[in-house]
Amino acid sequence: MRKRLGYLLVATVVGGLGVAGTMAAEAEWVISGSGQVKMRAPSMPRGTTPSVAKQSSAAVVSWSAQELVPDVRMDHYVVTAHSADAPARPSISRTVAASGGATESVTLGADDVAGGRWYWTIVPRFALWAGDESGKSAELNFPATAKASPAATQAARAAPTATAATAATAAAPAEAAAPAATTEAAVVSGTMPAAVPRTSPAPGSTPGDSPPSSTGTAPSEQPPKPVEPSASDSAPADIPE
Amino acid sequence: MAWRTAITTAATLFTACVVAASGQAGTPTEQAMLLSHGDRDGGGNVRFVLSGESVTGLYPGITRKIKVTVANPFDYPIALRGLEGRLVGTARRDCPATPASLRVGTYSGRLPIILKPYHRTTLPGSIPVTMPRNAASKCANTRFAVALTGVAGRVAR
Repeated sequence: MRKRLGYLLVATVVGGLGVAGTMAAEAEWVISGSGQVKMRAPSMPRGTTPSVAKQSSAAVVSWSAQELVPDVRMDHYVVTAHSADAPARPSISRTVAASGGATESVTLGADDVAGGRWYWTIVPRFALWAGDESGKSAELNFPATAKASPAATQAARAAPTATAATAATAAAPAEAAAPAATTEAAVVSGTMPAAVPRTSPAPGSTPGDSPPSSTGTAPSEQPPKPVEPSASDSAPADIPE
Repeated sequence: MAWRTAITTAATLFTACVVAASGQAGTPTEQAMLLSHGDRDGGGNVRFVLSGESVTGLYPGITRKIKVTVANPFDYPIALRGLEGRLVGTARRDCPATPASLRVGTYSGRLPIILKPYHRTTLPGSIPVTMPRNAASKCANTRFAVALTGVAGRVAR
């Protein structure tokens, strides 16, 4: 009886091992694989140097649209007016939504620029990305206006800036009598008031650089520069597409 | 006495089988020793190789696709059962390797795919990578590294 039981046990174990071994042999082996992919984001281009022109008492700033990668243009630009006076007035920045056209432009009203000498720069932006600031535009001199009337301000702002829309983030302290009811606003960096009294005229300054109370003469206007092509400021050469 | 002999024999057989099975299961080590191609992992096991086409032109809001090529270094077919990508590094500290900088999606193609012995195959699907619209400004002009990992199984001939 014991002998039979022993044989049965051996047979069971051997049979079970045989089945288990067969199943293990048929089971799939797991093999792993690995690798790596490199990716690159394009660099933001430097802004194109803008051209400026006077229109009535306002400044019209124009520049070529820029691309991040081929066929993908910047979605907005930061246009900054820098004072060329001494002492300098606070810079005026505006964020301009891109129109999608080949050129962009924005108009700064008389109340923003009156009584000062200005040049402009452009910073291209895409989402949160920002490029380097462009070169300086030509300088323009704007005579001081005793009091910018609301009508004049509105007229200046209505100047043909069809390709640009402004996005304002803060209101600029305009000249004393400037109307506050402007639909556009400028981001003003610095704390200086827009009209800064000067103790002495800056070297080479024109009467237009005088404080607002002075009687300004015709400022020296510069013809607008042609808009520069954007090809050189397109996607960087190291980003083949 | 006889039943003791039987039990001893059975136990010896069982132990031998377990030892033999543990040496084989799970890894292709014995086959791997014969291969001349393929990477090896830390344990010396041969792995199949994944590679992806480099991707350029990543900018906020865009989705690009990584095409993946698989090289089977083995002398037997394997079935690719899983494939995934993971962002593992960037070239700038201010653009961290997080989903806020770049999101890596799941493989879009059909799996499993049978890979012939010693063959390279570009997979029909792809792995999408998306740069979020609010990616940090420092992510411009930055390089990203995405690790690819895959799991395959040996296919009976």
